[in-house]
Amino acid sequence: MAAFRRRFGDPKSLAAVAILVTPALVLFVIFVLWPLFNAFLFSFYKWNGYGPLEQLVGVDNYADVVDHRAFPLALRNTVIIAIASLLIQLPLALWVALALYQKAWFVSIFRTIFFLPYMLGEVAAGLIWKFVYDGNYGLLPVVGDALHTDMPFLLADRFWVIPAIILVIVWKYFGFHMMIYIAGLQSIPNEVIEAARLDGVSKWKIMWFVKIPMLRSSIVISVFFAIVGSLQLFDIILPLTGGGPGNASHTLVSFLYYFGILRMKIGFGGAMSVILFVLCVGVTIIYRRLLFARADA
Amino acid sequence: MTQKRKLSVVGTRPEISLLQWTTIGLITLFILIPFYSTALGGFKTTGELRVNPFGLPASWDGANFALILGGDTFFLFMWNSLVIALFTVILSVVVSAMAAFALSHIRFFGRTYLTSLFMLGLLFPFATAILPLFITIRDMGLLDNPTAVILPQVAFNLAFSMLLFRSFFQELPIELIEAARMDRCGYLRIFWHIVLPLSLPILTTVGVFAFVTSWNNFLLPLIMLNNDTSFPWPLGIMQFQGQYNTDWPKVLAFLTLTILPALVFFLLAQRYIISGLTGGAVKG
Amino acid sequence: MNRWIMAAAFAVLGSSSALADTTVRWLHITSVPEELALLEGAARTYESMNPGVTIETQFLENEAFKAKLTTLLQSPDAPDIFFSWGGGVLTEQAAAGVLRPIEDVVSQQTKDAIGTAGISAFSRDGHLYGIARDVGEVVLWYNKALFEKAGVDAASMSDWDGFVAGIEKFKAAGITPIAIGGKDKWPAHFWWAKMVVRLAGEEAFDKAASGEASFTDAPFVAAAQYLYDLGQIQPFQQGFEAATYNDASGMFGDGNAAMHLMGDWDYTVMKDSSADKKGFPDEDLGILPFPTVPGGLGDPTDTLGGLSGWLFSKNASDEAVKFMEWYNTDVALQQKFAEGAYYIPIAAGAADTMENPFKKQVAENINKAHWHALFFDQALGPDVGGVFNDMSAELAAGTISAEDAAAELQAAAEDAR
Repeated sequence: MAAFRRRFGDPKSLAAVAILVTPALVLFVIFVLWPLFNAFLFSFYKWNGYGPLEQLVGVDNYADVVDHRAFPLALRNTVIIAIASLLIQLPLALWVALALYQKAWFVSIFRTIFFLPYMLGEVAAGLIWKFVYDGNYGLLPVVGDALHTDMPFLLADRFWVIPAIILVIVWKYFGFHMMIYIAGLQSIPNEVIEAARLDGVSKWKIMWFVKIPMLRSSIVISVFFAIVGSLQLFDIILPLTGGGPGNASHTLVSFLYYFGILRMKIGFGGAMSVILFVLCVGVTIIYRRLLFARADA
Repeated sequence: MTQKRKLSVVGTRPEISLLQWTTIGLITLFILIPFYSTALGGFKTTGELRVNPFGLPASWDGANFALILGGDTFFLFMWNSLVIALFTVILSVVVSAMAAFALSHIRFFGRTYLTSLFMLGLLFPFATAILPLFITIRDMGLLDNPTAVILPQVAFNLAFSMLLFRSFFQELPIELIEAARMDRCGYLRIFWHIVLPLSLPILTTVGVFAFVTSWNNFLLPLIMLNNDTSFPWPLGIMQFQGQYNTDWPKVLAFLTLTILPALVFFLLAQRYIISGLTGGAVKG
Repeated sequence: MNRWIMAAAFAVLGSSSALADTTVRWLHITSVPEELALLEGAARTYESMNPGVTIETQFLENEAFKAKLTTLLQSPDAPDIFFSWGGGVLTEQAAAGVLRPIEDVVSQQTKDAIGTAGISAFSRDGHLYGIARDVGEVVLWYNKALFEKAGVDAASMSDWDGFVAGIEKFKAAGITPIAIGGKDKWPAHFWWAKMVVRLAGEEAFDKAASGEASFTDAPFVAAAQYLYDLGQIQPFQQGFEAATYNDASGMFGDGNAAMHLMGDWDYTVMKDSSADKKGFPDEDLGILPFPTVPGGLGDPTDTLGGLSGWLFSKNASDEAVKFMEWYNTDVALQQKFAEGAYYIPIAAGAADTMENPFKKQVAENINKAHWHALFFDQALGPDVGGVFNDMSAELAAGTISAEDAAAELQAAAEDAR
């Protein structure tokens, strides 16, 4: 350790650092930090991307975003999707992981199948489900025929469109959460479970009081990914509904795309970006606080 | 100890309750049916699709597939995706491995600060910066150039890749590096001759990850690339779908063909993807 | 990718060889296969007549084209020639400086062939920016066989009350009265726009668009109210809000809807989008006069439609302009497009050999019109036009009142100024 400390400030080491870190830093600054700063800057201007940035409008863009007819819907949908993926996806993933973390050849086949949709491009997943839900040629009307009812056109229905999207999200991402839990479960030392079993503890109690508590860090990660994933949901929405019917299925990012990017309203888009950024960072900070608070207690 | 643990794993049959089997069975159907009907749909006619989306096609008419494979756009889209993905992989791996090594093994002023700065990238999606990113790229004159997709992808991959590399590098035996230092070996040489050869598994994992995210990326190319000859497949398939909107069998055939290579790749690379997820996730 | 390699190769070889040859990049949105074949054929013909000129066609599907247009023009790699519906979108592009003024290249002969309407539609602030290609009109297509089946007399639908009564008859007969591509939104805007043309007229529209008057004025709200009321009696197909223009067009082409308010270009698209690629026979196809409404300041002959053409991006070469002059004014070539009924060419004499009765009727309508109103979503520019489309789709779905829709539109118009 002493050897290391003596080298603190060693010009040769610093040169090495400069060589090793500079490429990453340059890319990061140009393509991550600088645009982020610009989003903040642009959000106070009215600008269509051409000519000089000169029309300062204060917080008008923020007001425009918040007052936009589609914004409450986009925010609501994002929150609903986040909650639904926490309440449906994660318990399901955990339940399945508890069965599939065990080692056997047939178990790994199911793992692979369940993980399959996660690997698929979002656009492909969106189009596949657009077909499944298609009211004329899809799978749904056939199911309706079999049940002798008319199935609603899910993607054209203001109520059903969100549950339909949630189902696609579960289909696409449930396997990802399952894998996280499986990794967590596999890292629990077998002795702990064996010991509990030898003490005559029931399977359910082992699950509740041994396995799940020991999965804490996996659950933390999976909850984080579920929330952040919902906040940035876009690629599935575009092929599936394009935000419709009306604005009923917009998410925050699809809202940004349709009303900021497509109309080249850079200030408006900037304001939306800042709002999204604050939400992402806010969620992370609050989440960490909650975790540490619980860890302290 | 390990001996005993291994024995107990091999010895026990997996315990899966009836309820769990039922769940697993239902989910398997839920996952596979969309794939199944997509793959078969390409062989059907539009009319057949309406009455028989689940069953086998009346005839295995490969005309849709032949049309797509015979046209020049399909292979162009796949090639574009491949080129973008490969450059993203190479750059991501090299750049983030270098930085992660410096940040985990060289002590210098501002190291923790720099590390947290990079980790900031984990917090927000690049959708938040997409418009200003477009302006930046435009002002650099890079629109419609594959680098307009590659460089931002590498930059936004940095946080996650560096996280994976760092947790791997930190587990490398420190004695190895200190011994090399004693032999007056510079950090660059240590990185190149000692660390990298030991890091093959994590290099693969990071590479596979970068590949998959790049392959599936949609928003970035959507904003940066306008010329259909430079489209990667997600843009290509959206254009195809827009054009053959009402012709589901064609769209399904196109979908099947684009999905197929991705699935094959996934089956081959599955191990690395999962170890990346779990390694990065659990330790991070 | 090949182009990058080629570009790199050119850079290496130096510019000397590139000087002799000019590549003209031409972005079109034509997807009907036969029309596309004509277009590609024309490019090859021009190449053979002009050695050293290479015409490279690029294609974007209609919706993707509109979505990309804003980013497209900012690229150094922008196509030299691209399609345009003119209007406020053109005004904004010209103001942004992404277009090439072409008045110094275009010959008097071309200007004469295109005609004053075509020239003025593509002129802004004393500069000419584009070459007009065609005129088009939004008409109410109808399926005579379905009218017969439902026992609806087409003549009875000439006024709004009769129109509504007819819709009820179709519904009673289990026939979808109107197909509409609600997801794309612009098909819904035709309904509101048609009503505005009728109720407000040219002067009131121009005043509202320029800010002298407001979109919340009575005729605009009344026009919106008609669309809202129409939506309330549910005349559209099931799931119309998720249907694209092509879905709706295919549905009409398959004979599954009685009416479709759409541009005259739909004549070929409805066939191409139908399941059998043929659609129902022409003798069952008709154009229904848009139902009249009481009152209104507009001239009854006024039409809604397009006057479309080609624009040139900032770095376009003279060769690109010359190619387009030839393409749009070569009578024999444009006659082929007219004969195929793909569009009604604007070049003098080109539409003379057109025999398709529907296209002939549309051409006559436009000729007689006192005001040929440009599609509102194009006329009003990208921001306000976009809101016009959004609001039209919402009116059709009944999720916004006529007053609120007009207020949203006015707010967008004020914001854009």
